[in-house]
Amino acid sequence: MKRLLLVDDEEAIRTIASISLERIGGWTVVSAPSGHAALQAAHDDGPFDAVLMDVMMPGLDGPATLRRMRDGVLSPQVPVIFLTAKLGEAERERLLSLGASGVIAKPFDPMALPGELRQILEN
Amino acid sequence: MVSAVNVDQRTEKVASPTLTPSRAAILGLAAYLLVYLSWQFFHWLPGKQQLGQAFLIPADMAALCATLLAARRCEGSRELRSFWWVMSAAMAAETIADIFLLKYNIEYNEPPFPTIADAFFLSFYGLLFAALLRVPVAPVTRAKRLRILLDGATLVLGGGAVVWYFVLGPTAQAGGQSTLAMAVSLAYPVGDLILLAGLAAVLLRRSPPSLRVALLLVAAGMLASIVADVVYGYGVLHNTYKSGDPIDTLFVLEFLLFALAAIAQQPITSGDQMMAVREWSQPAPRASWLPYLTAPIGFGLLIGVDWNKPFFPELSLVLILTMIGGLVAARQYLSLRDLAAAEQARRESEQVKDEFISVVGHELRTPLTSIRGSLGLLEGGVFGELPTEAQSMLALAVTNTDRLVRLINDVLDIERMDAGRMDLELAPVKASELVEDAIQVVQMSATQAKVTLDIDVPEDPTVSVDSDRILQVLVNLLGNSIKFSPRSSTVTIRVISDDGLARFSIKDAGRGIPADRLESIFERFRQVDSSDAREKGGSGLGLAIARDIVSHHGGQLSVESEVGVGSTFYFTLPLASEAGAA
Repeated sequence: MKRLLLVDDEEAIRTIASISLERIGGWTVVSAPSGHAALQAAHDDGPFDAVLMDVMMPGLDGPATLRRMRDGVLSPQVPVIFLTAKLGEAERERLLSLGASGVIAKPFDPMALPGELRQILEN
Repeated sequence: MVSAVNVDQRTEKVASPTLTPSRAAILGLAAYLLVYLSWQFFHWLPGKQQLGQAFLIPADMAALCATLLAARRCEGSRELRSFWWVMSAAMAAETIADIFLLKYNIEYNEPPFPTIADAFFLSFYGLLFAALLRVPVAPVTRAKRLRILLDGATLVLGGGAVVWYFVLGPTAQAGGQSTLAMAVSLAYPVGDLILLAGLAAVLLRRSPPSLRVALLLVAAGMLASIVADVVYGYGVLHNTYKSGDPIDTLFVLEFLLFALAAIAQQPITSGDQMMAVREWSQPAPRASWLPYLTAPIGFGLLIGVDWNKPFFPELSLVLILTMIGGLVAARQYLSLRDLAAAEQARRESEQVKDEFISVVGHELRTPLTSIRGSLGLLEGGVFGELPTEAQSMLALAVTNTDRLVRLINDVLDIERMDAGRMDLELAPVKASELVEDAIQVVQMSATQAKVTLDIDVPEDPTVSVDSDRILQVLVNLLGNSIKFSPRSSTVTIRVISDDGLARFSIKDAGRGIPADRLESIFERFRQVDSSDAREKGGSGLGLAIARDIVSHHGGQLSVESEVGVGSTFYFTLPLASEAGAA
């Protein structure tokens, strides 16, 4: 079973995404409520096959967490996909340039989320 | 029986609205004016100078008595009582002055000027002004007080200059009068002007309603006084004024009006009901320029200065005008500063409103997203098949959650556009791509509604747009057309390029829009039929947003419609330049 690290500061979103990814997508999901918790989880519970992470979080935000992960705890081959509420073309480009493999818009449809994720990972 | 007696009493009151004390007093004042006027015309008693002066004294004393009585009637309000007390002191000063003048008129054929009588006459002004200061008025800000002072100063300076120029200056220059005599003669009309300015300020500051009539009557008395004082000042300097001259009529009238003002004062027993209004009333804009009328009059005089007549040295006129100019400039500065402050406050409150909407919108959206996500998982059967009834309940919840999400998103869009925060990310894109993306979004609802979508993009122009936003417009318009289309009809999307613009049109065979509603459908929360909001699930903001987005792109959104035949929505977008398109 593939393992995914899910990072979002909102519990309801973590729950919904976990259920969607586990039951529909067949992932094993480890979720973290903050950037710092994500770094810890990447270190303790790794390795992961993918990271799905919110952009706007208090404290360490998505891009900052990604940078720190790439500094050691996460191998460069592991794709990181961002979740963002303000998805515009410029925002997408910015996130991709930071080293993200893809961007998924929030709010997401939980029934379609695993499919979207698979599509990004296959490319 | 008791009630019968009451009725009797009431009818008696209605039947005989006879002589109340105040009515009697008013009649007395009117009678005195008539007697005085008849004497002025016919001089039915000899001794014009002495008798004329003596006639002033009863008028003064009437005002004195009336103001004293008014003070007693106002025992419920300390401020009003104090006002009437000081008023009566002013009337007493005038009475004493007129008695002195009578004495001089008896002793001398040509009474000296100025005398102790003038000291009392002038103290009348001081006391009246002190009375005005006692009128309870709404509190004002410092800036407003300063503006009132500037207006008053302009009025007094300008009015004084006019009086000086026309009346007193020439006389002073011609007759060898002492400086004191000139100063005293000028003090009368200038004192009147100061009092008038003070009265105007009090009246503008919405004095207590119970005092309003009285103050208006006092103002009328002051107007009579101004005219009389100018003529009087002219007369004494020329040695042509004699007590008993027709101009004295205005003095009599002045004090009868003051007496009337005191009679008009309603009794104030207790409580502060009549004093309740403390609100500043803004002077009407058309009245606010009045003090500055004196400036053009002054300049008009400057044009008219006759160089051969040395009575009015042009230098002093230039000096006065310079001062008036300075006052006008200061007033202008104050007004503009206040205006700027008000504008700033307005902008800030607007910003607070925008931020509030934005924060509330986002705070609402977050939990709603979770609700929608949970419902989506349930509806998708992730937790197993649900009973049929539960499914229909769930469908209801999903539909309405979607509607709420749309409404919140629309409100946020509107707010963003109102606040000027809609940043467009312009990029060249083919019209056909936009149309296909939009079709993808609405295809499902079209299929459900059994509506065929027909795409006609013969030229496929490249437009320079924010794709997400234009997609929103297209989805919106297509969604509307599908919603209002009858089954098995067709909605046609057409794009042509024409005259440097791409023209999009979306044509349906729906019920159409009545001609008188064609414009209002673009307004916020307007739907052709208010039941549409419930039946069709729209927010009432879609077309307003679509029009805003299109106009932000420099295009235009319009509609043509015929009831029962269908509607066509048109919008234009700028074509991408050759370089951009490549």
